[in-house]
Amino acid sequence: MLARVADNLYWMSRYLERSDQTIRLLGVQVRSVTDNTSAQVAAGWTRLFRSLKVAPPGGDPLYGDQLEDSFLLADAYTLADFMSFERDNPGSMVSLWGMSRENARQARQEITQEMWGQLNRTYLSLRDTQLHFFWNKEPENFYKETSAQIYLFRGVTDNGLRHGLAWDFIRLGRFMERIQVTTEILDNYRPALDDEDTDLDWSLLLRNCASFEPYCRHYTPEIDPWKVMTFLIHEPESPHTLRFAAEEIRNGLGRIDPAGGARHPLQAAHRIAGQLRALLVYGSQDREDLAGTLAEVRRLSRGLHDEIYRRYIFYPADQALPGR
Amino acid sequence: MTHTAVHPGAAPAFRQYDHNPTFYDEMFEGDGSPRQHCSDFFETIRETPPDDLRQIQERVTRSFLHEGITFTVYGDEQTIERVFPIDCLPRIVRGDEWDDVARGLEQRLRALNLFLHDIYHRGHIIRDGVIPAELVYGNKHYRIEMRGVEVPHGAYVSVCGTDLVRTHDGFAVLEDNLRVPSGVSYMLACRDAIKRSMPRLFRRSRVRDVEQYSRLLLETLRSLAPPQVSDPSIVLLTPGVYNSAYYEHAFLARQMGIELVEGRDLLVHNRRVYMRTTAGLRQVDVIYRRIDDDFIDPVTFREDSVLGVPGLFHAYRAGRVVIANAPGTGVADDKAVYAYVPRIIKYYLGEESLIKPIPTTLCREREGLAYTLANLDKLVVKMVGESGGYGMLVGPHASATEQKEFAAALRANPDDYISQPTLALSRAPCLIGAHIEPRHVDLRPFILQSERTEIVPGGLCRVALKKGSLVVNSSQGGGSKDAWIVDVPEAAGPAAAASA
Repeated sequence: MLARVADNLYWMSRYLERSDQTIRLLGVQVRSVTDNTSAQVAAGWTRLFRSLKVAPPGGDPLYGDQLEDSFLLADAYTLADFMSFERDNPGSMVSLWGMSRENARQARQEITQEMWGQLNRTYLSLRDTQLHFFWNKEPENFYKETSAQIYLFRGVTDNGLRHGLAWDFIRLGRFMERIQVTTEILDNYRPALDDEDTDLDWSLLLRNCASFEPYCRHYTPEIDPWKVMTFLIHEPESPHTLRFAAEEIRNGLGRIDPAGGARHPLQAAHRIAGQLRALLVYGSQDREDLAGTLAEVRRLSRGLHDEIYRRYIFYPADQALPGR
Repeated sequence: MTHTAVHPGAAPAFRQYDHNPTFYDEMFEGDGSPRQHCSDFFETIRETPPDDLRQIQERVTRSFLHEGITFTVYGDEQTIERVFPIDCLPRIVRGDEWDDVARGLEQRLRALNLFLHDIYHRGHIIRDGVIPAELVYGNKHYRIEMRGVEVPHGAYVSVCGTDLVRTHDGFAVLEDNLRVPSGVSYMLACRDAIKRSMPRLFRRSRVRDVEQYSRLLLETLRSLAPPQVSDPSIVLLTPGVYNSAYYEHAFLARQMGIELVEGRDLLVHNRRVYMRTTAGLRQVDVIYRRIDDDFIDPVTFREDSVLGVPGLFHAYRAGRVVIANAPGTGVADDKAVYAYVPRIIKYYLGEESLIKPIPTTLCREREGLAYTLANLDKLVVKMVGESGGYGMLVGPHASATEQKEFAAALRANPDDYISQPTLALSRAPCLIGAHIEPRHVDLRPFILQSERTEIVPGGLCRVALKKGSLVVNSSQGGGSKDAWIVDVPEAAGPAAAASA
């Protein structure tokens, strides 16, 4: 497959995953308004913006705590609108769909008509939607339905597209984005573990990571903060945990370049993917190591992205001559 | 003046139909009755409530939108995506008429390919005085770099899209598009949409298939590959996503299962062309290019091109890669060379042109200029080397001021112009709002030529949707419709009588 097209598919998928994460965080946040104190709601907005690394309309959340007050001032409608439909915000749901669609357009020869149709139709309908159409009715449902469109796209992809290189790069993009965003979400909940006074509802974190039901199946609906945290990091069978993503990434790279992960010397990307997996499978699960683990996941996944690009997308031509 | 025929029991949709005998009507005889091969279609449409027709039209348009068959209009504030206007009523052409046209198209392209080979080699046709040397060698599309280059099967043009019009005198060639003709994806998408929205009528109508186009194109490109390559690697070279025909490029690449590449995906090393894949560089054997000559190779042609591939032309000359269509074919679809095509056919094939030419006057000749200036209000004057409906004057539709301005331009640079009589282009019924009205149409069939010639029965039928307009280009308010080539069952003649 063309390297440029692999690049497009990878980003098509990353943007869509990011959109999915954004939609889910918004849905959970909008729902939390109904049964939480205003301080909790404000803290929720702060975590949302920080997890997605988007500067809110009032200021940059990465600098200084005094800005948290601005979330109390700005109303939920403004913030939800900013994250849903604001075109000037590159992190808004509709912007992310737009970017995903533009990447898909440039990779049209590799994706099926059904995939394009699903992506394009949903984009066109989001483009023509406005927050006030549903805000006073059922905002949470809107986000759920939009999320369902992404699941539909994935179903169409998994069942219609040949499970070859294109599929591998799409899957790689999805889990690369997932591991990075989820790490940020977890890191923003981490301080609350040590905060004795907090009355934080930890089920929100599970819902943010689409893992409420898997958690309840594994444990019970009794929510224990530390169990929630380690579940989302180390559990191997739930698709939204860090461990699951790391396994997918490593397997995906193995399919994309079987020799690179098997023959000496191993490709750098394969080594990093292996390290990432090892950390999440065999790494420490002690409480004092949590911050270090998350920082390491962040470092490795960024390095992995760079190595994937260096090896498969933007490689120097003279290293790849000749071949047929 | 209108000629609205009032038929007892005429359907509401046709009530305002203007039967003007000046123009050949694709569906109706001069007396307003439907042509025999259209009668079943007409009956069906007549019985369809206008609301249903509108729904069909909306469905077809929506399917284009969802497919992404749009073009982008770049405005100041925001960019808008527009759907290509499509009319849901097909233009219907009788099979035997089409067969005659197809023979003529094949003849024409065969002769033009021989012409291109000749002018890039010995130039016999010029030495024999059939065509003036300056028309060929002085043409801006003549590529001196192509001299002596051997092209597989002599197919300089392997993909051609010829614009045909019809008058009361039959079909005529308006223009040969021999460089990078586009529109075939609209033909296929139109067909697909129409088939889905009127499946039963379509099946009943015995329409000839066009769906095999992509397969035939792939076969054509394969047959151009260097003979030593058994499984050629074929790519489609596009200028990129901002090109207005990008949808078509992606569509064809997908249908043929070949890579859609941009210039930046290719590189030339040691006179071989490679594409950058995720598994390293891979050699390319055939390039179906959809970018203009000028932009193919910044080393050989325009040096400011960022769309092309440096060194591509050298690899081409060395025979390591095939480019289709070959560079330099534009000289043969030039508007001035057009006037000589009947003579070109006669010269190489010894045959008369099967499709009637439109009488063309060259303003570069003194009598031609005088005649054109004297009849500016009756003629269509076109600028040589322009396309897309730009740089032309439709005399009868132009104001006195426009004519005056054009006359001045004409006197200043007579070499740049040709003139032709204003043709009474045929009209076909189109759904305009809730009514069916006639609009002018043309037809662009696609011809593939390498070892043999293939023409899919049909083409892109373009419509001038503005009332009275003769300009069908999409940049100027044109739309498209499906073209049905139908085989009419033998009329109940002696055979039917005998079996009865």
